[in-house]
Amino acid sequence: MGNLENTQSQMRKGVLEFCILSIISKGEVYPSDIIDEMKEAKLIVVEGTLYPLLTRLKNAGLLSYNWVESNAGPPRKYYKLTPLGQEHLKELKKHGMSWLTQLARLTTTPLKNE
Amino acid sequence: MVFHIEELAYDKLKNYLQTIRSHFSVSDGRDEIIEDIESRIAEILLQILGKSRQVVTSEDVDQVMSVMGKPEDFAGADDAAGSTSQTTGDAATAESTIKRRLYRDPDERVIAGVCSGMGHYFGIDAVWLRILFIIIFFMGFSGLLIYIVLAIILPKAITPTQKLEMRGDPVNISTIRKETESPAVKREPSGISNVFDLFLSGIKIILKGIVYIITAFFAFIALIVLFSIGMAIMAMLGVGGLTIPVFISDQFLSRDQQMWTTVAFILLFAIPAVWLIIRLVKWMFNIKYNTHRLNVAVGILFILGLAVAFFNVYDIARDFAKDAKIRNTVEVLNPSAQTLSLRIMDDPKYDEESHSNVFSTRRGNFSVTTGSDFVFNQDNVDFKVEKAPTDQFELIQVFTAEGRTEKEAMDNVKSIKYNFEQKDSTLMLSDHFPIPKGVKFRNQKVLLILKVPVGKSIYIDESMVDILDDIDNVTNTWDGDMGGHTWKMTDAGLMCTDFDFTTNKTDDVDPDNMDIKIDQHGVRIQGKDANDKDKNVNIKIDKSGMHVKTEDAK
Repeated sequence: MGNLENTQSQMRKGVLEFCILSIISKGEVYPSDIIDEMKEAKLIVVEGTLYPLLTRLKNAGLLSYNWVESNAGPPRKYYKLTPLGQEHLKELKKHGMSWLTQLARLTTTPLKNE
Repeated sequence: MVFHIEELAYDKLKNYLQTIRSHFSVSDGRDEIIEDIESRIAEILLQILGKSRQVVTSEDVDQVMSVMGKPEDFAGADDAAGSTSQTTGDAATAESTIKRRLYRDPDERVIAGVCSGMGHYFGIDAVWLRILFIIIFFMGFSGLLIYIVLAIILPKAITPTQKLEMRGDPVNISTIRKETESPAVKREPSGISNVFDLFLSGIKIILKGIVYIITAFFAFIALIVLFSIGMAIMAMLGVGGLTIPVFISDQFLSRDQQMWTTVAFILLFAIPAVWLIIRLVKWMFNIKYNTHRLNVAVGILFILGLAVAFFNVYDIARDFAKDAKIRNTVEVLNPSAQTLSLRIMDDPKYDEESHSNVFSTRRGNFSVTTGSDFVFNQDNVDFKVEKAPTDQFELIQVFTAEGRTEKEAMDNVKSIKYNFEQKDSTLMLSDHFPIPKGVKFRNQKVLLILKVPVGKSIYIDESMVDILDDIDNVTNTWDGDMGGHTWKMTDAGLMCTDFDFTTNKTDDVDPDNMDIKIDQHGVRIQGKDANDKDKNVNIKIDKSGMHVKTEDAK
C-alpha cells in the first residue's frame, strides 16, 4: 500500500467517523438510514463499510444500540449516541471546524514571504 | 430465518463471508461485524426475493455483494482492519502453521493431478512423486490401485480458495484476488489424463450405482418393516379383517367400513411410503428443491388417517356391542346300550387339514369355503357334560352371537346352523358350523351341554378332545386326557370306568415324581407336592387359563 493510499485512508477514516456520529446524533437510526445519507453525500458507496466502523465506535463507548423488531426480516439494531459519544461529537465539531478552516487556509493561501 | 439457496449461490455467499471474516481480527469485534453483515444480507435477500420466489440464486448473491461491497473496500474505511490484513498477507508465507489441504491439482496434472496435489501438500516437486508412483506401478498392481483410490477420494481443487488451501497459501481477499486475476499456468493435459478422466468418472458412476442399490435395498427392508408394524398395530386394535386377505374381509366389515379401512390404510401407510421414497430419491440423487409443503401435507394426511382409523375401529367395535343368546333343548334317544358314544362327524365340505383358507382370530378359527351356500365356517364349538335330572339323555344347544343392536345380534344367532346326528348309540357332533352368505362374523358360538342320567355312561372319542370344555369329573382329570375313555355318570359326577385316574396316571404319564407335557392342548405338569409327599399336584395351563389341583395320593 502506497503512502498516498495510507494518507487518504487516514483522512477518510476521520471524516467518516465524524459524519456517522453526526447522523446518529439526529436520532435513533438504523444502519441503512446512515448509508442512505452517506451515499447521497458520496462518502461511502457500499454498505459493508459501515458495519466495522459502527462496531468500533460502539466498542469505544460512543454508541449504543437497541434491538427493534422488524416486520421485514431479522430484528434491527437502532443506534444512538451515548453521553460520551455526544461529548466526543461536540469536541469533534469544535476542533474539526477550526481544523477544516486551517486546512482551507493552508492549502489555498500562498506563503507569506513570497 | 431460513433461506433456500442454490448450491452455487451458497458457495459464493459462504466464500464471501469467509473472506470478510479473514479480513478482521477478533479484537476488531469480528463476530459482531459478521453478525451485523449477515443479518443485513438476510434483509436484502428478503427484499430481492419478495413473496413470489423461494430460492436464492447466484445472481441474487451477486446483487447482495454489489450492495455490500467487496471486502477489500471495508479495509480502507477502517484503518486498523486494513493494516491487519496487510500484515497477515505478508507474514503468511513465513508462518509454518498454515494449514495445507490435500487436493488434486487439475492445473498441473499428468493423469488426475494426484501427484501434483500431493507435491503441494508435502512441499516437494511433483516429479519425485511421479517417479515414486511409476516405481510402485511396476512393483505390482497395488500401486495402480493406490493411485485410483487416491484419485477417487481426493477432491479436485477447483475454486480459488481450494487452490490456495492446496498450496498452503493464506486465504484472504488479496490472495484470492491474485489467484483469480493471475491463475496458475495450466499444463496442457496429456492424452493419458483424458483417458484416465473417463475411466475415473466411469468408476465413480459404478460406485455410486452400488451405493444406490444398497440404499434401495435398505429402503425396501424399511418399507416392509413399516408395513409389518402397521399390520401389527391393526391386529392389536382387533381389526381382524385386516390381518387376513382382503377377499374375506367381507366376512367382517360392511362396505363402508372396508372403504374407510382402505382410506385409512392409504393415509397411514401408502402416502408415507411414497413420501419416504421421495425423500430417499432426493437424498440419493442430491436433488435440492423445497419439500416443506409436501412434508406438511403428508403430516396433515397422516393425522387425518389416524382420525379415520380411530372412528372406523370404533364403528367396527360397535358391531360387536350387543349379545344375543338362544337356548334350545333336543331330546336324545336313549341308546339301546348303556353307553352313548360321542364323536365328531366327518364333513366332506370342511376338511381343516387340507383347507388352506383357515384363519385364526382372537375369537376362534374359521375357514372360508367357496362355491357353496355358506361362505365360512366358524370353529367355535364347546362341549360340556352335566348330570341329567331325569333318566333321559338331553342335548342343550346354546347359540350366542354379537351385533350392533340386539335385533342384529339375534339375527346373527339365528344364522347359526348347527348339525349333529344320532345313530342309535352314537352321537355325532360337529366341531364347526357354517354361516350362510351375507352374514358377517359376529363371534357366533355354539355351546353344547349333554345331560347324562345317573347310571348311564358316555364314551368320549379322541376326536372330541378339541371341543371339550373343562368337563367336571370326580378325578379332576383334564379334558385332554378324557378322550378315548368311557365315563359313567354317578351321583358325585363323571367317573372313568375303564382307567384308574385316581392314581393320577394316565396312559402317558411318567411314573416319576414329575411329569411335564406340552402339546396342542396346553402345558400340563403333574407331580408330588414338594412339602407333602402324600399329596399330588396337578397344574395345567391351556386356553381357558391356569388350573392347580391338589389331592391326596393313595
